[in-house]
Amino acid sequence: MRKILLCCAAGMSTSLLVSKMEKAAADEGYECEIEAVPFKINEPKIEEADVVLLGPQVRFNLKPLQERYPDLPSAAIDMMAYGMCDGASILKQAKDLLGD
Amino acid sequence: MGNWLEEKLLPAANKLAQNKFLSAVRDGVTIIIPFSIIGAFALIVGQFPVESWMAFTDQYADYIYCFSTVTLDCLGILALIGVSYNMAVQYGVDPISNVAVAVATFFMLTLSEGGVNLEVFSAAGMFCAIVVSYAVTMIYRFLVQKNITIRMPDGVPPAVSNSFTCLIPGLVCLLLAWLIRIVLNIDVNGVITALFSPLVKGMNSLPGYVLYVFLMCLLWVVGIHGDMTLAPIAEPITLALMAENMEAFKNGAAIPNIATFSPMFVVFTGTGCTIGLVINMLLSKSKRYNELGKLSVLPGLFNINEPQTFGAPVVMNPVLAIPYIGVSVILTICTWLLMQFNIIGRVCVEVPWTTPPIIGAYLATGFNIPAAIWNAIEIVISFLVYRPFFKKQEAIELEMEKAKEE
Repeated sequence: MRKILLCCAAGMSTSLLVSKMEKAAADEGYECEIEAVPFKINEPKIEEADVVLLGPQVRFNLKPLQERYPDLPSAAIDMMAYGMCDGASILKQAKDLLGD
Repeated sequence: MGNWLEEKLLPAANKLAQNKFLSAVRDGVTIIIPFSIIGAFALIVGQFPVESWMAFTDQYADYIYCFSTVTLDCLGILALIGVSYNMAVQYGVDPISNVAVAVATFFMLTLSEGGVNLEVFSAAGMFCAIVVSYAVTMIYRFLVQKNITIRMPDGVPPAVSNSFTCLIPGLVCLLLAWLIRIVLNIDVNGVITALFSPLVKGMNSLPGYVLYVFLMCLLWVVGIHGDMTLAPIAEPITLALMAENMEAFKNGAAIPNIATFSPMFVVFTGTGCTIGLVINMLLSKSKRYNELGKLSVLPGLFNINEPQTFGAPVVMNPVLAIPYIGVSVILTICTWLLMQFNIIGRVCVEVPWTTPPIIGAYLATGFNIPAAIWNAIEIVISFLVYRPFFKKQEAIELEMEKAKEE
């Protein structure tokens, strides 16, 4: 069971993605848990996650995040996929990062 | 233009957003907002504009307004706790100890003849709280780095030795604070507030406020969360201005400050007032825009607009960036003037930022109907400003869709 964490400023706009990604995962039969939270460098959920995806509007947090968690796969979500709430392609981005 | 954005603005914005001090201020003052809303709720109950209700609540004013006393009148101390905690997180010292040291130091630095000074608990102490939080954290970190801490012999339980971690930083900070406040008799809060006052005055002016809105939109155009990036500078100021307004509203006095309206009158339905863009999309012949419009309309009513900003896209797209920035500047100038000449009410109640338009404008202005009507007119203005630019964008999109089909 993979844990995918999405982070943006208030955790609101990424929460729009959660259900879309869950649906894409169910269609593929990929087992994962997806959650959206506001980004904070000391967010405890980051430590529990297998992969962290940042909303593109807070992608400036990627560097501090990778400095603190060098072994945790992380990336900023592709802007167009984010805008269109394209759950399948964002799930693919997460899977690629995990090597699944 | 595109190059300038990519090469100059983007790195500068990244630096600003990654700065530890500014991040701590932003995350720290954010803790105030829920309490500000609780306090505002008491005002809404107490001042609900029905005569018989107000006659009733007048008798129970003490019962109602105690909620605003312990929230709105304590914003400074809440900021101190929030900012000193987040400074500790950013700079890697023990958060709870840092908060304790910062609170004691703040009391010492603002001590008055009668003892602990309650006046600085309010928004009047906000800037002092931020500066003290930073100074204490730096001293704390310095002492830890130089290994100047109390160490217990091996075998002493960690809980016991941890309980002494504050001792040396606390003593050093309090001695310094004592020297500044008591021996040298410096009015620390007065000095810091005076230092920040040009910034407050600048923000609380039409050109300053327009500049703030313009920069916020420009940052979004390069795909960076503009509101959040500017928050460490803008938020302490607008929260302090808002606290004065709420106090005036509670007392039935004239509302003093104008520069509190951006959430409900400029960036409502999302930064860039994108409701006009969404309506254009809903009317569009383009399949993709139609779909995006349907996807965006509900979150947009709660002032969340990332789908339309990244999906249209507004980001890195001059065709839509022009109306995005343009409509925000137009609405800022118009709203400012309407408020300055008291044609519509000023924002004097903190409402959650996700409150839908019109209702939000009505509540935030303390039940001002002209303000709610203006908010509805703003939606029409937004539609009209986006219209010609969207048409141009739509033509590009339709051609692409046609090419795909063939």
